[in-house]
Amino acid sequence: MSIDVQREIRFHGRGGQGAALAAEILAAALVRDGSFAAAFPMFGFERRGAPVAAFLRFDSAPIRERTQVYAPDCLILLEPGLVRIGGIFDGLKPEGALVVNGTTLPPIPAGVRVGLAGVVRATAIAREELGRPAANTATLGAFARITRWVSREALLDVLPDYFEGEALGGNRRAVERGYREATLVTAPETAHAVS
Amino acid sequence: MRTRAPRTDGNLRVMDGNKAAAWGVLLCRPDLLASYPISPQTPLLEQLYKFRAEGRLDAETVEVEGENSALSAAVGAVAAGGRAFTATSSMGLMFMYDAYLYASGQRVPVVMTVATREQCAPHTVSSGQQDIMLVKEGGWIQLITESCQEILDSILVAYRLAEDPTIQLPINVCYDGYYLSHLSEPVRVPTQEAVDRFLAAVGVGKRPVLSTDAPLSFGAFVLGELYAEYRYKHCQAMQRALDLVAALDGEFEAAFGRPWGGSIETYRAEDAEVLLVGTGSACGTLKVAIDRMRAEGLAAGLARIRMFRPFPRRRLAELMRGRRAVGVLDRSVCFGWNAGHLYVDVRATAADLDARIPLVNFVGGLAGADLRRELLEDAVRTTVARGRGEPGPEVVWLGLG
Amino acid sequence: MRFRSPFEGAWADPDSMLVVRTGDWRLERPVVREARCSHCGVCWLWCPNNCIRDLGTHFSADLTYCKGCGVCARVCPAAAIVMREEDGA
Repeated sequence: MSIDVQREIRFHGRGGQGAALAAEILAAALVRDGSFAAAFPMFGFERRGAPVAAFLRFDSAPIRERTQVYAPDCLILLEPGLVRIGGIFDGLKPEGALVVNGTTLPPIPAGVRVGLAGVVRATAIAREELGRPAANTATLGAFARITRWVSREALLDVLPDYFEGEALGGNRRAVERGYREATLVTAPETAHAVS
Repeated sequence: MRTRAPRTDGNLRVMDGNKAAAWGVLLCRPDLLASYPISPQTPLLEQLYKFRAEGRLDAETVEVEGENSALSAAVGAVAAGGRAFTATSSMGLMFMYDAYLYASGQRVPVVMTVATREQCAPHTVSSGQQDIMLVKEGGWIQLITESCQEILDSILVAYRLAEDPTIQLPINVCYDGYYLSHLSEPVRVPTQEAVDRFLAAVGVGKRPVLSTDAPLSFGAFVLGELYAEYRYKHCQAMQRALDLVAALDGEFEAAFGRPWGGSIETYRAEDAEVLLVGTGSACGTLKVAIDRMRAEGLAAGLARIRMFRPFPRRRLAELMRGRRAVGVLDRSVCFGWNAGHLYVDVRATAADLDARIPLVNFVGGLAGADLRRELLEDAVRTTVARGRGEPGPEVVWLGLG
Repeated sequence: MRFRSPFEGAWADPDSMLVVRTGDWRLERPVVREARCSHCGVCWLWCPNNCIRDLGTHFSADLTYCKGCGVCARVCPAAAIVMREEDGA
């Protein structure tokens, strides 16, 4: 896929869910698709369960910015329960994309205008395919389906750089199922304001 | 300024700065690894030990009890004629300080990466450049990088430079902790053959080594004038390193098909009314800020210091000459000068110029404070304003107010 | 210049860390079955986060700070504490 302007993505999850790894895998897949990409995790103490974020930029030109993402084109929520902490939707561009691990969208704060939005039961898929709740790869599969910004093939192609053996097979199935089982949620529903 | 997307062949891999460093080390075929884990450098060690476990890296390893031992073990291996690697950060660098001075004073060409980190106290584990600035007068060569590709490339350059018979000095390859150590981006990994050819000029037999065949004493006691002679030679070697990196850039391009870049990288500097000077990963963001300020009609350019020690004084003076103002971005604090460390060097360099140029220092990004593009755009605007005669403080603390 | 701290160095009010609501990290919550609780206080002793509160007849975790580590459930001699998955975890 060819793009004219840089796109920015912010991941939110909990320590242990694989948000940082998800960003790295997506960067690798985007490069495989012919883009330039750069990704890094939020720099804090790595504690299981603590809210974490990761940042990704991709473009048809080399990425030079080395800063966090403040105005994402897309939010990927590995743990939608985090919205109760606040700040998750900060800076989301108008009509920005939203990819959520779950069965429904979380409450969208008033004033936030979401465009493309989709959900996927990524934790359930991960439990079934990997035997543990590592929702990251299934969510990436859903991201590919919902946004079309990365190809499913590229995601599958780069997995061997990150997993081996049984985990590789499980994550391949998780990406495939995330892609297949993602559900697009229509815009009017997402525009519903909850204060 | 768009270029073609990277080719996705077998040599192009997406990896973070720590992995890029590990690949650089792997390709240089060290004989010994000795290092102690410390965040954010630890994943580099894990990758090197993985390479070794896979049988790709034929290096001896020493499990050391701390950083001082790590560097000491590396010094011993290099003195015995080998090639050694170690790596550290922040408090670890401080903990090896006496070994650090021994390595340079004894002219032992160790290569050590530093994933730069803020220096305690106050306690923190976040990014910053205070650690490398605190050892800048330790007699090592210091290279500071902006991208993961440059980390890998600089390690190749570092071994070639350190082990050159005319240099014989240890080298730090520095990369911003977290901002580069944990940033994943595409990196082109050169072939082993190309690296072998590039490093063929150096190696065993080109410098004094400990050997039972031709015994030499290492670490001899020295007094008075002979001491001055060694110090003089050390200073001369540092200056020769400035000339050699310029020459090496051609060698590097011939070997790998892309330039490494030399002591200073310039960006849109040719016609710039004001010059920004910086070092490390924040310069990437600064380039974007400069592009945006240029679109608003502000003619700014950048000189990124890649070789920080020895300081490329003559080259920088040439770049500063004729500018209306120079703004310096620092991710560290020099307490004695109430400014950043790089600023002190730039101020000293300004004395080489005939005309006086307004100088302004921006101190920011301490302890992981994000150097947002907007902050750097303000820095460019402020530098332009100073060039037009607007008054203001010499040191601007970004994000404080 | 406006400063954030009244101190010259990194001294701080010990309560200042209470702004870090570690309960946000929790994937599972400890649920105390009050009828089974013998009020022995072993959970209070072991809680690494010091967030078990004595409610007079039984103990309960302060969910503002409980990280859901499950140590209390593991050490409870009466098996009065069970870990329940948080909604949306």
